[in-house]
Amino acid sequence: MKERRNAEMKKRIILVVLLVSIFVCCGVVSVFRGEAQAGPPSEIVVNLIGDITGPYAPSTGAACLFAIKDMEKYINSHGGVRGVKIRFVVHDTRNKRDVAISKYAEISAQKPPLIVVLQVADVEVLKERLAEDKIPALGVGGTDKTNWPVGWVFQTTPAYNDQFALFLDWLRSDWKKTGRIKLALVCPDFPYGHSIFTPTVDDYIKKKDIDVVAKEFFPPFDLDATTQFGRVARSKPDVIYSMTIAGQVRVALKGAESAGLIESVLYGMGCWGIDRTTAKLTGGLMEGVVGVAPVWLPSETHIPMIKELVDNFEKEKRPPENNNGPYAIHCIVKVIAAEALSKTVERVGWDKLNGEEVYKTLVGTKEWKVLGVMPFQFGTNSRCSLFGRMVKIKSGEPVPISSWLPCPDMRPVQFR
Amino acid sequence: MRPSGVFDERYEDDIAIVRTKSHWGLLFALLGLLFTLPSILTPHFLATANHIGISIIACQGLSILMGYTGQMSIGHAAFMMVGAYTAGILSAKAGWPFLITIPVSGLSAGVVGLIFGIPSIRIKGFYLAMATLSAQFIIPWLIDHVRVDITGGVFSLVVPPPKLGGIVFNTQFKMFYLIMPIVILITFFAKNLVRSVIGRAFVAIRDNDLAAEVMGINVFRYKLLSFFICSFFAGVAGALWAYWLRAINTEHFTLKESVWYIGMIITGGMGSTAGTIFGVIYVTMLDEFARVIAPHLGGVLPPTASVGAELALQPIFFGIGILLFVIFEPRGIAHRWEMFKAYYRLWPFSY
Repeated sequence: MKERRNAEMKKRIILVVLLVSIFVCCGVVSVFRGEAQAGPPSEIVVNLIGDITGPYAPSTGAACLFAIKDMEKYINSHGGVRGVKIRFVVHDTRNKRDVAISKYAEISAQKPPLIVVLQVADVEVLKERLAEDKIPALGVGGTDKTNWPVGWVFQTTPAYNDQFALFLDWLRSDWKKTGRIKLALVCPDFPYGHSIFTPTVDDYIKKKDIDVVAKEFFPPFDLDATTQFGRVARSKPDVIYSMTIAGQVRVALKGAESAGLIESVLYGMGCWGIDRTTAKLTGGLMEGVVGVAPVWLPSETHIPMIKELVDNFEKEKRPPENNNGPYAIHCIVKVIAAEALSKTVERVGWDKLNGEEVYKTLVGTKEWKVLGVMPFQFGTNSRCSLFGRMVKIKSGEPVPISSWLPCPDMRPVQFR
Repeated sequence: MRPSGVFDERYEDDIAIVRTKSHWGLLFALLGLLFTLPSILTPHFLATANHIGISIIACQGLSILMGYTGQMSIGHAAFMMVGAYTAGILSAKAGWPFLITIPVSGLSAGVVGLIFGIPSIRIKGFYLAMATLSAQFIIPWLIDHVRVDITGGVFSLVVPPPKLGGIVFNTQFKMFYLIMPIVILITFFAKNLVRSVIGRAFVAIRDNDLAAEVMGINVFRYKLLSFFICSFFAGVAGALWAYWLRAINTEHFTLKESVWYIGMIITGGMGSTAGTIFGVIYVTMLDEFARVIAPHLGGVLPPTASVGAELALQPIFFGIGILLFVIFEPRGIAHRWEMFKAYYRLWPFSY
């Protein structure tokens, strides 16, 4: 009998402990739930969601982290956002969408005026939520899927198919070849690789008297694309274009080399591929490759900020190849974030700084001169940057071969 | 082991899952706690709780196949993908309500799982693992390249949020109340299934398929049934995943996810319904803990010119956490739980 009473008592104690634990948890959680403050804050936080240590780390890992460190330092030493220090907080998703959604839930609850979303796949998941929550987001490159219909995501580089159209313009007007051009498209089998395959681009290619003689895809994380390039070689193209990032550039160029195409064709690449790091990685195979650079080049040290960044790289003894294209793209998104916040505060003041006001600022972006040099604006009823420059790899460095040009508009017909 | 002083007087008492008033009390307290979680948890942990719920459904299926029937599958995420795309296409393109798409997704994944389960009659172990691995290559390829006008190809398929009686489940808070009842239902079903004739046949096949056949169990039929149930659960989990994320891509259901689901049921304890829940929670929360602790461990690293070294510690810490657990408790958390229950029932008179 006594034992039974003891057992009952034990169970009651457990229940009480359980209930107390719940209340303690409630208390702890409520302590961590901060309230929003009015007036100028002591600092402004911009959250970034992206793959830092996952499979896309070669383009969004170190490049993004160096950019955060350097841009915080640069922006804050040049007055911050209207005198308030800016801080970038990165949330690593490791390319997992469940992590991205959890992080977004945490961030959106704080009603931030602006966030940065790096991966196309994350933008696809968050696009509708951003519009529902009225939180504008900056990205670093968009596809038709993320750009149309227009939402609350603003890409700080031109749409990938717009960039490709700029390459086609250059090909038609500036390249030595006259008459019909035979173009082969060899891309990795993932969203970035597929981004240029749209009906509008198909029509544009035809309009430019260019024939697509081969379309090939290779798995994004494969180490060999010889078979695909072997098939491409049989179609005897004049030009090959690839939408590749990081290690894929080497896979593509090695494939082209093994098919005997490097010497005989002009090679073109998308903005994440044409870079000094990939040039180094490919050991000279990238010489003469042409593409579109949507931001400044690391060699442009006549721009004060770039000079400062290059000096900083040397001072901190960082590998110079880390001062590359992806780094520049990641720097620009932070400069534009600070600029957008600054312009919004100038217009409405700190008290009214919210997502909707920043959205209005971004929608109205016209003829910004980022760093005093780089033209930047979102197109008419478009959420992508407009300008790019043609560059060519010479002695392992991307060198501009054109001025800043507006990219042709490749939006889907239904959104014209 | 029965709680002291509790005697089974009827057959119903003997087979009851919940035996005593205290058990009922605890069950209601836990359910009460579960349904008050959304008002307690931060938004981040609420989203994590939803993810845990979906993973529990997927892992309960895998536990039936691997833990109870002893069959291998490393294509579980691919079966989830089938469910996710079925729900996505039916709701986005055909406008079907989610109450119909969820069972249909389960059925479609179940049928696909059945097909990939056919080799199980001839092969087992690593060879069966390789056969199911093929699902992880064939299914995404088909989705990415066949009828991309319907699936979206390599780009994500946008899925509308589920609606029920005028309520749009478009927040983590609302999704919690959609996911958790299904988790409870599936767990209850799994728990009962393994105690039924079917469950006993599964266990007989796991322990010795030849002996099971001699005893009159149709091994092929039950193996296929196990694959069907496993994939059905995966399909339901996939459908919920689609509604939860509201955009699906083949990239969400990689081989890595399949391996992690196996890791979750191993950590929790193979062949245990409760263990599956423990395993999912343990692995997910360890991952969360690694994320919190990694930046603080950055200080122990030697200074380098690189950045983000502390982020690299996150997967290392996570990996070590799993490794240590498997070394020191290979029978899983479920075993620890059983030990605790036995200890608690005898305490303080363990003799």
